[in-house]
Amino acid sequence: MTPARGARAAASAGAHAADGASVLYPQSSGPDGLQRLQAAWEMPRRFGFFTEVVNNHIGTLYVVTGFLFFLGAGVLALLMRIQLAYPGVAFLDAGTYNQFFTMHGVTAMFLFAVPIVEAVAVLLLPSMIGARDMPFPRLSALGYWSYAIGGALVFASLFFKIAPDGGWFMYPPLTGPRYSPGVNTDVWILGLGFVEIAAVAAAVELIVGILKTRAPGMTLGTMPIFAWYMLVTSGMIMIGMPAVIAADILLELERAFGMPFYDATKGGDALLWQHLFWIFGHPEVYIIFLPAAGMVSMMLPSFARAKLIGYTWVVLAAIAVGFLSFGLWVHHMYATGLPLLSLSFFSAASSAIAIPMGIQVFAWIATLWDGKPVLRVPTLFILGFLFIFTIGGLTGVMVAAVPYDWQVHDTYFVVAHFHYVLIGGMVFPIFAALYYWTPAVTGRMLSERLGRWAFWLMFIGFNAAFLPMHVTGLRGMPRRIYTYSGDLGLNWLNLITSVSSFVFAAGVLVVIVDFLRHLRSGRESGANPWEAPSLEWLAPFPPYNFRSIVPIRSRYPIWEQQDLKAEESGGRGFLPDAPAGEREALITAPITTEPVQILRVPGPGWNAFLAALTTAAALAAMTLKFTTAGLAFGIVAAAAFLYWLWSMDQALPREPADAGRGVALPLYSNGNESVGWWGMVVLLVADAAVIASFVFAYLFLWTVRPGAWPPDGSQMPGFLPPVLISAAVIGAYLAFEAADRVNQREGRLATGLCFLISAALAVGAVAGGWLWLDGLGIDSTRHGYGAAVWTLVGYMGLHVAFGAGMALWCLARLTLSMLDSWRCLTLRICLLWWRLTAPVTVFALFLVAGFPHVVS
Amino acid sequence: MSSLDLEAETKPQAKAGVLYGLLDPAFGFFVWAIHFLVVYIAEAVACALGLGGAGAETRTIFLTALILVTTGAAAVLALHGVLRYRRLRALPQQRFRMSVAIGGDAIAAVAVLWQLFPLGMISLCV
Repeated sequence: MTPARGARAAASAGAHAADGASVLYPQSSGPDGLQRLQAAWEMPRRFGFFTEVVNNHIGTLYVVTGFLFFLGAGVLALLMRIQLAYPGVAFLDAGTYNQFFTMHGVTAMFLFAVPIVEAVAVLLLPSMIGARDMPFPRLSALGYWSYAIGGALVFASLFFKIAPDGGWFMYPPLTGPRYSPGVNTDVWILGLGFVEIAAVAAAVELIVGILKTRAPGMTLGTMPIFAWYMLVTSGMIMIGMPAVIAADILLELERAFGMPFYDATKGGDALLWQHLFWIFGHPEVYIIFLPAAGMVSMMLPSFARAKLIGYTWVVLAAIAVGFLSFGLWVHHMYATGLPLLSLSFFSAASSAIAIPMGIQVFAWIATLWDGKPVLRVPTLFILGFLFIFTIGGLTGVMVAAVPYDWQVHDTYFVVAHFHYVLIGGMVFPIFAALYYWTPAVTGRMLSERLGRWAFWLMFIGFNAAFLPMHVTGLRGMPRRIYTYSGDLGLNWLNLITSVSSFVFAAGVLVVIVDFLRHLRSGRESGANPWEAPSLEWLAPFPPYNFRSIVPIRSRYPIWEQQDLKAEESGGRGFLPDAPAGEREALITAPITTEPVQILRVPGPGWNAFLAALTTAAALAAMTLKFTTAGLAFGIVAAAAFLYWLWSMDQALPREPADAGRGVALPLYSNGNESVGWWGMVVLLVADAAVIASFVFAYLFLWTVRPGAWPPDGSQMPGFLPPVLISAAVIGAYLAFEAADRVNQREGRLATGLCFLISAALAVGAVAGGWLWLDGLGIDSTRHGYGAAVWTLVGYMGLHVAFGAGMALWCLARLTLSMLDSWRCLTLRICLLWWRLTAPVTVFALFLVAGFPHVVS
Repeated sequence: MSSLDLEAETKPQAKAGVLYGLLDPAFGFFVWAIHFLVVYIAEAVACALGLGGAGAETRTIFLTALILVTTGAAAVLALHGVLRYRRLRALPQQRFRMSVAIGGDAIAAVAVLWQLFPLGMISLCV
């Protein structure tokens, strides 16, 4: 048996391999073990704020930052409502108002709503599923710091009058170079780029964390319902977010390099943006709603004193919503002149999604009906959520009907609808969650009395503010106007809305006061103040989450596993110790949840913070045209990332180590048991979605003008060059595959040679691709066709170039004895890259070469 | 050393691997997604190529093809549901997996068949 196969066998055999054998790092259930565990997970005394990466710290920062952005969005809303309180008020000028309503939407959607649901998951999910930490803590930290810095840059642009001003969806041509020549749009693209990185990073973390770090025994059918919701949501982010990333890239290419994707005078089309944006934008609503629904589903059993009715159906509903929400994007484009039948497909899908949404609502009502509900502050917010969100859902069915949507499109009716959906469906559950889970984090209770005041102020203020908007919208008041005529009969309704928005804000203010008060003088909560059934209430939130990881056999472990607490705190579960002085997590199989590996998770370090900071500085400097500074920061950022990558895949002993409970597990996996392998697979799904978006862009621009193709006077592509380039790409990939096989036989020289051949062929393929397009006379700035071809082929060229870099990277590690037949996870992960890159590059080449022949 | 004592609910269904085991319960929704893209893209491309100006016979053939694709997708979903029921009904520990798979097939089938309304009621390329 080769060492690598031996490692896999040890991983899959788990406990059975260890019988009678001596194991490394014996675990202790005694006080000495606890002492080592605490020391390993202790936060650094100096600069821990920046360097700590554990989920409790990063999650807390994430939640607080998200809440600050919520307040920022709210303040902008209040300022807008002052402007709209009466007709003709001169509180804000039109330009400032444009920036305010844009930033209100951008902040609420991108800087608050998506990040905070991921933040709650980063903070709480590991303890809900019985894990020590997220599987990639440094990635969590990178995501958080990217989000915080990127978000701060975008929000700060308000103070310099360079904030985005094209609406939160930034439609071109308004945001194109002709009508938005300033940096406002670039600031949006820059900041959103960071937020998108953060969202994708968190989604990778959550998917791999949920699938690979659940406590032993916690199967897919018994894991907390919130984990299901986050699994679906993270999957949606991996598919949806890349579409808007692709749209952003195309917009910036148009603005910076004149590539006319959205310019109708040069073969582009503004609807391309709308398609790409809303392929993300509509699922975004559910990306926000589903985690909130998950929180509600977690909280309800505690207050209903009953198990969630229809767990399986709720899981099914969450999956169904996750899929069906991708069939609704044209829902936002009914007024764009698409064929009626196309609109009707989306209208039908919009109706179909009502089925899984209804399942969830009925499950919640049935749970309350089945139990003996206790009316505490979180319950109030949950009831508020049910009331408000249901109204938003009903108006959603109305605007899903094409003729009705044409009547109310771009009016305040739509503003009212989506605020009912988003504030009802997400903000109220978040406040319920704040009151519910704060004791788990801070150990103190928020005030029941102040909480009730806050709820009623928010509930009354919200409905009084937004209910009249349905009427103002139906009577024709358009969105995004900074003032209106006094003789439209809308004055009183607008005044009521403005005054009530301050009532809502007063409710939020009460929550802030309550939160600050509770930090100093809040009543100590004790263990499990709500008598909740889920695991996060088992231990008092230490950084390592649990003294030991106990096998879980129930959806409601605290209610149904009698000795759970004693086993956990007595160190009778897995990993009660940190015998090597390092942070460790238990990796389990995704379906069977057998323990398969002890993962050494990274501890505190500057890498993630510095990588995020210098990347932000580089991109901000480039956006503001400080090119030299941008390049300098870019070099530092690249160095930070390369150092980070180099430090991965550390040498670990081959012998199994003690995992506790009499089980020995490997410390290392070089195959598909490893979290790194899973992380790469998930990331490649997102990458494939970006590629699909570029393919869509190319094909879409043809459907807009389906005449001669190529339409820009360039030559009709031949087949010989793509065949040769494809051969080089496939050769580079096969050489990499060969490197893996030869490496398993310890053939170092042959392995190195395979890497060299792979890199050389890949570089040849990139050069060949460039010469091919250039030789055809395809100009990326003359026509949308050229822009789309260069972007698609160029993006795949980047993939091949990265593949060459990976070959050289592996060669360097091989030369320095950091890669061998055992320690070869780096190679295997790079191989995954090639397994996507090779076939998709060949597809892209033949699409560009063959499609013109097919359609001409 | 003792061995693990876990009441693992499920094992992967076949030798096809963990990813298959994870994704199979969502089979119905993948079919729905493929069907949705096929009918939407087919209509968009056909209209771009001038189907709106074609004769009634061509339009009828195209519409019939879309309806056949739709009913075919629904039939695939029904078949998948039946197969999962037959394979898993005797395994109590697989109840969760079976319910999600069959429920997913059912919801997806409704969403697919729902598209027959626009296909039957709305003119092509208007």
